[in-house]
Amino acid sequence: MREKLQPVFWILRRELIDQLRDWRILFPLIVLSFFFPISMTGIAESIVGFISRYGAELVIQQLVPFTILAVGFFPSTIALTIALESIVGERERNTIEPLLATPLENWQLYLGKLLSGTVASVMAVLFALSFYLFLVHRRDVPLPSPGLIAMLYLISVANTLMMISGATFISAQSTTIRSATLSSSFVLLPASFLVMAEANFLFWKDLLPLFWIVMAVLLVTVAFLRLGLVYFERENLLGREIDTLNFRRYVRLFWRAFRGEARSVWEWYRYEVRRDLQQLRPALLIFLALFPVSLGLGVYVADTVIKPALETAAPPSIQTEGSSREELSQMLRRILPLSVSGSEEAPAIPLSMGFIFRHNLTSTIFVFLMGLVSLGTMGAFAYLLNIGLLGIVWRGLEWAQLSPLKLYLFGVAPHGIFEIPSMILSFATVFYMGVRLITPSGKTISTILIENLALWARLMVALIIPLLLIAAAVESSLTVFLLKAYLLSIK
Amino acid sequence: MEQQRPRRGRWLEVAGEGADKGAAMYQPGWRWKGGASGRYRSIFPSFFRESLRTMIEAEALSKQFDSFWAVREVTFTVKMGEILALLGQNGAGKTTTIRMLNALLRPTRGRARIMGYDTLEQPEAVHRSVGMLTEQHSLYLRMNGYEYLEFYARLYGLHDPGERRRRITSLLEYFGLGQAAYRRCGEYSKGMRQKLSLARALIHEPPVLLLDEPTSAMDPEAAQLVRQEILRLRSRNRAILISTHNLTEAEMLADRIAIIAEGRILAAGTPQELKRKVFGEAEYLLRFQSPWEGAITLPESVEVVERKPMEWRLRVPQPQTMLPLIWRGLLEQGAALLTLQEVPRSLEETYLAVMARARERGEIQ
Repeated sequence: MREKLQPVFWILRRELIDQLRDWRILFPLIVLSFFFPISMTGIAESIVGFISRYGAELVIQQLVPFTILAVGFFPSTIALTIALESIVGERERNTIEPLLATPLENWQLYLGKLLSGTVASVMAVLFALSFYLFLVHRRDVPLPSPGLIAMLYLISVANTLMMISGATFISAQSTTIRSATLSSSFVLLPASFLVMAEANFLFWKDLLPLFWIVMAVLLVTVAFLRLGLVYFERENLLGREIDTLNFRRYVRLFWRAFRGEARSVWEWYRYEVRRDLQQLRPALLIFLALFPVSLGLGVYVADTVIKPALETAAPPSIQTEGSSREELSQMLRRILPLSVSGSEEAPAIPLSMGFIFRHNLTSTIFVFLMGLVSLGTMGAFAYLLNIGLLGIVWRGLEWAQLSPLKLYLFGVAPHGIFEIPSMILSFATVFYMGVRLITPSGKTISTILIENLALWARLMVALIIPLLLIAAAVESSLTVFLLKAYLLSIK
Repeated sequence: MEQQRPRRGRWLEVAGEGADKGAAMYQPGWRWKGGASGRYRSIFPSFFRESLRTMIEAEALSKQFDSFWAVREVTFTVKMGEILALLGQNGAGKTTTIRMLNALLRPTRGRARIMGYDTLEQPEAVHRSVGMLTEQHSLYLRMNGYEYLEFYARLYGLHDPGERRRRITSLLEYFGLGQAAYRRCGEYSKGMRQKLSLARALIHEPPVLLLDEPTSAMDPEAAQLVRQEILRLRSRNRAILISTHNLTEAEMLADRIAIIAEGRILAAGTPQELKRKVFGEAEYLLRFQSPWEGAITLPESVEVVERKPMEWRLRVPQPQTMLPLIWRGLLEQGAALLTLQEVPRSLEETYLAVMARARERGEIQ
């Protein structure tokens, strides 16, 4: 194994020598890992000074972790630049061919390139974080707990690794640096959203959700690495096919994959959709099994995270133990439509069939897009979150001294019979698409992407949209009626 | 039977996995001491000796990009000690052919073998056997010459530091780059860059060299330098394939030339064979000191192309035997002879004629 890894090390070494001799890489690396923490310290210090005059210690406690996250994120953007350039840059400078002509295996070449983007950037991130913490500590600004600091280190490194693995994949699939740079938003945007989400979780200062986020990010990193290795082809780096947009071919391919061999709608349902469901069976089973798990996790999070947080942070009026079932039922009635709830106030959310359907459809498309940029993994996490929320609400209803079982029976089950299967199907499809993408099949990535898109579209048209329509119809009529009846009965 | 051991490397008694027998006996970094005249000559039959000598083999090699055929049914062999030039204009399919031979592109049809190793099945063995020079210099401009060669030496598995240093130093000296070894490649002239690329191609002592447009976009002086280096690399242990669109270069360097256009090989052979194929037998110009109207009986195979009082133009099939006979006959008839010389036929004329004929036949557009 050592012998196999040696060429990886030589490629890494050469790249590092090259990077350290290039001022265009060195300069931003130094600025972002040295001068940026200095300026951030000044900013943090002045904000802390300003806030402490008003005694808002809570805000100070929240501020420092955010600044640490920002200090860790900015140097990682250099990683993106280095990784995006790593393979396509060599191609553009015509130095790739002799490298491809060496007796190295594809994985050795790819890993060498991947690590070359990783080492300098991770070092820069670690240095920037440590330097910033040192500066903050010296200025007597209160530091977060050691556990949270360690978690922030983990988050920053995980984010950097994910960006590098995504960018290296883009680099290997692009023909020019320009096209790679244009595609970088596929990595940068999700990474920015991720940092925003992490910032939200930082508010709670709870390490468990952050730990799961780090795990999810590392999973996406591994998926990107796998994807890169599956589609790293020497021929693609020298051939002409890559990057060539042939819309007519894509449309033909999509239609062929969407329609399959079917000659009528009946055949389409009978053979094509059925075959899809057979292929999806393992993914469906996984998601079905995850249902009780995530429900339990939701209950666990409600007990261990939300309840203590609400008890310490929320004003007495919304404290869980103090909430009365009357307050909650009033709130639920406000949400329900005027005609159904019997309330004289205007409903907060118009629960019409069109609104519910649009909302569910948008969520399904959002899950698809999330799955697309994260190779299915984020789709799985979104599923866990959704079902987990049911668990959290279950506990919340118990805190409000309402019967969750009855509320779920009247308020979720009628439309849930249609909505939950469509949701499981949608998540499983997105997950399956990710798995298909990172499994070698001998097909090009564009072909797999189009086939995936066709699969998703087929299941959407054949099953998910009809189920969502039925669910919306039931929810806007029967569910609301049953819920109202129940709420009136407990008044 | 005890083999004579080379200074470096070793003999393989058994062929490599999946490789042709004999061909795999020669491994990169090993000196082929025997050659065709070596000790095994007496024990191996001639057809086997012949297969040993074939180092590059393209068999109906074809490559399609989308709907475009870049290379179509290309077949040739290059034997040990031989230089073959693929001569053709830009876009003729030369680079694609070379990339297929170096296992960088997969043939759509046909197959290629280097030293008996199939390019599809044993790409790593092919890479070890081939030194490749690309059209562009392909240097890392922020590295110095020594570092650059060291990097590739390591990738080709030269782990022994002493041996690596010795090989790098000797290559740098061989190409006259010793003084510039520690200068950044970005400071090198074009000629120096190409020489360093050649050194890179030779770092693992490959038995096969694939040189893609080695002098393209170079000034005449630098191009001349590189050509001289290529000629110096000619060795009976090595097969070299050059792709070029430069006729002079092809004629100067190659033992055989394959004219390629639109992915097809239109004609192949030594420069003399090509000329003979296109223009027929060689023509000779006989000049007299004074006008001569006499007559002699010429052999049947000799054709008089043109007859003037001061000069004759003859097409002679076997010049070595026929020309002395004609010379002697004319002297005996009292002709005052001045000179006898072959009518020069350039490769350019040959090339253009081949292309014109291919167009007439509809083989190319």
